[in-house]
Amino acid sequence: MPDTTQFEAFMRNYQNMVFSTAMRLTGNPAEAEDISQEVFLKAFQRFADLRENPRAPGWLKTVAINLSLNHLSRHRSRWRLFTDYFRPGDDGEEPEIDFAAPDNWDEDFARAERRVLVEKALRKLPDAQRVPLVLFHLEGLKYEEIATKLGISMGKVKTDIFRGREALRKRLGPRLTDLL
Amino acid sequence: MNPESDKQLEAQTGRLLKDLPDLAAPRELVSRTMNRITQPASPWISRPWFAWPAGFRVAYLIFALGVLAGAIFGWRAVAPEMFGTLAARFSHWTAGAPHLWNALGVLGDALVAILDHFGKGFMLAFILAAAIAYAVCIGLGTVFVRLVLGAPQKNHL
Repeated sequence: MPDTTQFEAFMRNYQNMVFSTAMRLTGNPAEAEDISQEVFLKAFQRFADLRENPRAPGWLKTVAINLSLNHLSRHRSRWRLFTDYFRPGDDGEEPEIDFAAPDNWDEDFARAERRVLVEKALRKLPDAQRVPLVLFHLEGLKYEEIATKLGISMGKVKTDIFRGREALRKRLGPRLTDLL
Repeated sequence: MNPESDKQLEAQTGRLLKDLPDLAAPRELVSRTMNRITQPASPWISRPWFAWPAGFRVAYLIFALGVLAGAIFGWRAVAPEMFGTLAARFSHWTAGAPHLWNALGVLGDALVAILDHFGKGFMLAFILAAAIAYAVCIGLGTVFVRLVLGAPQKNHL
């Protein structure tokens, strides 16, 4: 049985990264937390291989991406048809966005504000646009890889990403140029 | 689509998203996960049948089929008199079967008479209309299942 104290330290090191990956793909904090837990339960089973392995972060990220996509494909399509009309945040109740503490506490306030705006705009995108956008820009996947992961054509991936960018620009509105 | 502005938008979006720091994981994530890890696994018997080890599932299936077969055939060997009485009662219940058969025959004849009266063309058109209506129902059902229950490959998310 692996050492639980060491594993807890390992988990504290990577929990923000894993949670962020799941959160940005699912757009839902509760689902992202459940997925993060599953990722770490899998990691615990392989902790002997992962503990000293420099590829551990990459492994965690890949598992987080795969579990998030599995979760979306299994559970979301059942109620998406109805809930797309009532997305969280549309009623004015916005879940709070809590970034991990920055290394530099004197970080510019405007930059922090900009990040909150982008994060909120990203969260409001529909799954079909947000997921390929996150996979492309944040996870660095190529169009072909995204198409394979999502089981759709490359043309559709490109279109969805393009629409996602446009939607993000619209949501950020005239502030976008100020943000860059 | 303007390729130049698309490239610009791609670069801007990339910069915006890459600048996002990690989100803070919920405080209870570590404790929740550690609880799951440290709590002893529940014994297989208390888990749902689908989560049992494969060997136990097969053994249980054989056992259950054995019990079922025993319940159906076993008591016939154990208590032949009782079986004889019950068999007689069943034959009494099924005594009306020939009358039912006759009634069905009459209904069949009536259908043939209707067919002759309206002509084969009309009946074929009726059957075709019924088939189309059935196909429409199946189609609507499929659309409903695809949209609401979702096929992951088609809906992709």
